[in-house]
Formats: sequence, C-alpha cells, structure tokens
Amino acid sequence: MKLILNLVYKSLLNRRMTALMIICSIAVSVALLLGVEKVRHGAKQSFSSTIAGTDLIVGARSGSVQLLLYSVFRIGNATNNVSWESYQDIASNPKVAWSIPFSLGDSHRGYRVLGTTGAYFEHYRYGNKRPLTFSQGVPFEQLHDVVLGAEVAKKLGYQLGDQVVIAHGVGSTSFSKHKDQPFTISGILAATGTPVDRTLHVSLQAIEAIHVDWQSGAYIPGSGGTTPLEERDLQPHQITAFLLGLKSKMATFQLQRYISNYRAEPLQAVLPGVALQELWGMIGIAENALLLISGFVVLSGLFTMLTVLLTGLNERRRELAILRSVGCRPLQMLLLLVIETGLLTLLGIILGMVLLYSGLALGLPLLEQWYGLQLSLSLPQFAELKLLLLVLLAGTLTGLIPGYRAYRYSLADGMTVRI
Amino acid sequence: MSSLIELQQLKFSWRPDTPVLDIDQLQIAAGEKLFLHGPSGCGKSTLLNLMAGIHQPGSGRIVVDGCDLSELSAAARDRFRADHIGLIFQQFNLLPYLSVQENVLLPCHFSALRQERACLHYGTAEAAALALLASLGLAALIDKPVTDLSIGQQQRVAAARALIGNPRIIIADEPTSSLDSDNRAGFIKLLIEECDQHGITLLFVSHDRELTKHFTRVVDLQQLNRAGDRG
Repeated sequence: MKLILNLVYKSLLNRRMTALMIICSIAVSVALLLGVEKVRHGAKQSFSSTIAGTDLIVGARSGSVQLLLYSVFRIGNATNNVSWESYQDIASNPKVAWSIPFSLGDSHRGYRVLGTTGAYFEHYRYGNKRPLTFSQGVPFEQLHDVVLGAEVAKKLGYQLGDQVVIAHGVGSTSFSKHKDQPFTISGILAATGTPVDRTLHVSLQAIEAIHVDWQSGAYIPGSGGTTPLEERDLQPHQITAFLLGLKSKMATFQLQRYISNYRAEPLQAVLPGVALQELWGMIGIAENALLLISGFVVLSGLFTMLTVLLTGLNERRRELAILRSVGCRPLQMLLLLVIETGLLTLLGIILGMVLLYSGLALGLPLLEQWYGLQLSLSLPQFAELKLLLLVLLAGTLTGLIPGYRAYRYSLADGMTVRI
Repeated sequence: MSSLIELQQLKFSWRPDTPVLDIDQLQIAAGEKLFLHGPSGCGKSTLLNLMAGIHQPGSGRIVVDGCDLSELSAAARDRFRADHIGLIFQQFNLLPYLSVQENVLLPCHFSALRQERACLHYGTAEAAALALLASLGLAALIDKPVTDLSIGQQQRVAAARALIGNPRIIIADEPTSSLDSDNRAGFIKLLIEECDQHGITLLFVSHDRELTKHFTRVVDLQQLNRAGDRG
C-alpha cells in the first residue's frame, strides 16, 4: 500500500503539469459549488432574519405573502388599509404586549417612507432578536423629524440636521412632492442588512400632516383649511398594517383566528415565520437552479479529469507493463489509478477551498455593500462538508474508469507493449 | 537433471481455428542458458507470456519449477511470476520517475520472497541492489534519474532489476536489439556471468543469430512450433 502511494506520488510528480491542470479545473468547480452554497445559505439566512420577535403581522385581507412583501420588505402596495379604530381595538386586546402601526405610501428618491410610532424603535427586532440601534441622533420627536435607515443616509449622503423633502407616491421620480413641509433628520439607524436600512421613518402624525392639503391624490393648497398644523388633531384615520407582540406565544393562534373573524372589517393576521417560509419557497426555485448549475460545473470538472487521464493512459501503457512485469497485480493497477484520481480530487477540493475563502475574505465587504448580503467566513457547515464528500467520492469513483482500462490493458498486453 | 521448465502438448490461439502456438514438447533444464530465435510473428512473445503466466494455454501443460501454471488462478500466477521470474524488455524498461536504485528495488516491493532472498545475501535489499549495480559497472549511477542514462546503461539497470532477489528464471525479450555490437556482447557476457553466479536459468529471445555463441543451447521456435507450418 505504501509502495502504491509512493508510485502514485512520484508518477504524478512526473506529470505535474497535467496534474496541476486537473487540480485547478476541479478547484474552480469546487469553489463555485461551495460559493453558490454559501450565497444560498447566506441569502436564506439574511432573508429569514428580516423580521424577528413579532408574533403577528396584521393588514387588510389579501394574501399572506403580499402582506409580508408590502409591510416588511416594502415591496409593492397594500390593496386596502386598516381603520384606526380596528387597530386601536386589537392593540388594546389584553393578550397584546405591544403593537407597531405602519403607514406606507410615500417615498424619498426611491426609498420608502414609513409612518410609525416610537414603539418601532423600542420593539422592532431583526436577525437574532436584535433591536434597532442609532448610529447617530435620536428617534423623531418633532412633527417634521425623520429617522433614516443606514443605506439611505449613506447612498444619499445625508447628515444629521439635513432637510429632506418627501414625495407623494412610491416612484423614484415622483413629480408631486410635499415641498411645503420639509423634514429634518433627527437620527440615523445602524445598518441591519434588512429593508429597514432602505427606509425613512417619520411619525404617523407627520404622514397626516403632509397630506392635509391633498384631496383625492392631488395637492390643492389651502384645501385643508387654514388651521395651523400645531393646532390640528393629526390623529390618523387609517394605517396600512401593524405588527403585534403578544404576552404569551400560546395565544398566537387564538388571536390570529380572532383577527381573521374580525367583524368590523376584513382583516388578516399572518405569522411572520410561516409567511417567510412561503415566500422563500417561491424564490427558492431560482436558488435550486443555481445549485444545479454548479453541480454540473463540478461534473464537467470531473469529466475533464477523466478525459485527461484516459488520454494519458495510452502513453502510460509502457509504465503499466513494467509494473506488471515486476509483479504488480492488475487489481493493484486499478487501485493505483483510483488512488491517483482520489488524490487529485482531494487536492482540487483543498485548492478550491483556499480559492473560495481567500476570495470571500476579499469580496465580503463588497458583497455586503452592494447586495446587502451578509455572509460569514465560517468553517464549512455540515451540508457543505457533505457536498465536498460527495465530490471526493465521485472523483475517486471516476478513477474506476481509467483503472478498469489499465486493468484490461495489463491483462491483454502482458509483457509486450504495443505502442 | 530434472527440467525447470517443461511444455507438453501446448496449444494456444487468440481465435479458434487460427492457432498461434502448437508445441509438442520443450524441456529446459535448471541453469541452462537457452537462446530462442525465430522470425517475428512466429509466436515468441506469446510463448514468453505463457511461460511467465500472463496468458493461459488453450490446452496442454506448462510446468515451471514443478508448478503447473495452467492449474493456478490468475492471482496465484501473478504471485508466482513476481517470486520466480525476472523480465527484461527490448527497451524502455525503467520507470522514468524513479531513481536507478528505486527501479532495481521494485520486484522486492511486490514479492516478499525476493525481498527475503535479497536480504539473505546482503543484509538489506538496498545493499543487494548496490552490489548488483556495482558488478554491472553502474555503482556511480545509483542515485541518478534514469532519464540521464544511456540506452546501454538502462538495459543493465533492467538486468539488475531482473536479477535482484534471485528469481529462478530470467526471461529476456530481445534486450540487446537497441544496442550497438560492442555493448551487445558486453551486456550478454555480464548477464550470463550473473546468472551463472546465482544459479539462474536464462531464456534469451532474439532474432539475431550472431549471439548464439554465448549460449549453451539454441532453439529455433519456427521448427518447434507446428502451428506456423499450416499458415
């Protein structure tokens, strides 16, 4: 056995150029496979950690995925609103510990504006139940205060105290703006890697205030009366959705049923985890396609190895005949080639890991900055190790094919080699 | 003297109806230096493969050193060859990625018996290799890569490899055909000396009739092989 290993080692060293090419081709495919797996895992991780600690999301009756999309991911629009009375009624239910109202519909240069209350900064959780923190400033206090998400501040270059004009509607180039009521930045949140980074937060009252002179979606100055804003009752009449935290998880389903059967208006309550799962199930198809493609890349890497080894085998018939003449048995010959391919695959995997991890170390900050994708430089997970083991096994088994041919050659050629 | 190799009623063919070999009888005594000749295509290589236990005869018996090869399994024949037979080819005998010494030591790794016999005389297999190479005039080349060697030197290294661990038989398949006439005579003399010294039977195959003078017996395969007459 030691002899076979020694022969494999020296024989490979003798063909180091070819061997290196094989190793590189396997390394690249392994790096790709692991990279895709890592991105997949990271995407899923950061996706499912978008919202945490919330027991129910409540909105107008539509679909659970849609409600999740417009309330948490801030994609698309609500089909209907929730009346302030219903919100108050449900929020005051004795089973409810806290509630966060959401009022959406306006934007600032493509970023959504969220009307909410101070409860948002107190109770909203993401990731591993992490609360929101301020990198600068404080929550909104004045009517025209705004708190920016990390990305909004960074991309648009805003500082504390800057003035921001909010546009009506959600397009990035909206022409109708609430120019009459500019907002002052009171705080900037720390980065979370969630849609919170891409949101501007104002109070519910501010949302009411900027829409005072708006009638049926058009700005008509003075149409809202002449009473100064400070003296008006800016109690909102309706909100878009709200989040609920319950005193006991046990009550979740009970309250969900209660909300679904709510008499005053058609409402819907979804469990964030369930809705996230549902949504991931839909976008997971693309992710599986990606994995499948990288699987094929590995396969093509193995085929490259097979081709190179089979081509080389013809030139090595002399070598095989010499080994046979000194007493190497055909089965040992088979073993020789299987070990060779196994070793090449193993080295390819190791080089692939080195490639991937050094690439990740260099590229992680960029990935996070450009795509908000947070990957960790963690050691391979069990699933990844399983993949690697599968590659190693496939690579080693690939050796059976040239191994078998070597076996046949050595039986047929005997001592006389036909070249 | 009893014969070391004995062929009886030996028939071999790759395809039915076209026999390659048909030998009534051939006996080779222990210690003989046999020169086997014949034109190419007369079945020399096939006969060598049969005697080395690579191929099985269609019918008949091959007894080598009291052991009927046709009754052994493939694995047992492999072991028998590793233990008792040394082989030298026409050219390219050596593995290019091993040193001279490593090439010579190869049979000892595959056969415990030859390792044991090499150690018996010299203490270690490495010492045996060194002694053999020295007597073949190659002591200075022991750690050289084989690619640095001339063809004549390569063939002598191959001879050392065939000789190590004292096999019963050395089969040399036209080992001198790529050498010039001076080297040729020198190589054969050295090989025969070593075989005599260790009591090894030599089976030397060539179509070069000039070499017959070095050998104790000459066999013309074309006369021996009845299969050739029909074709």
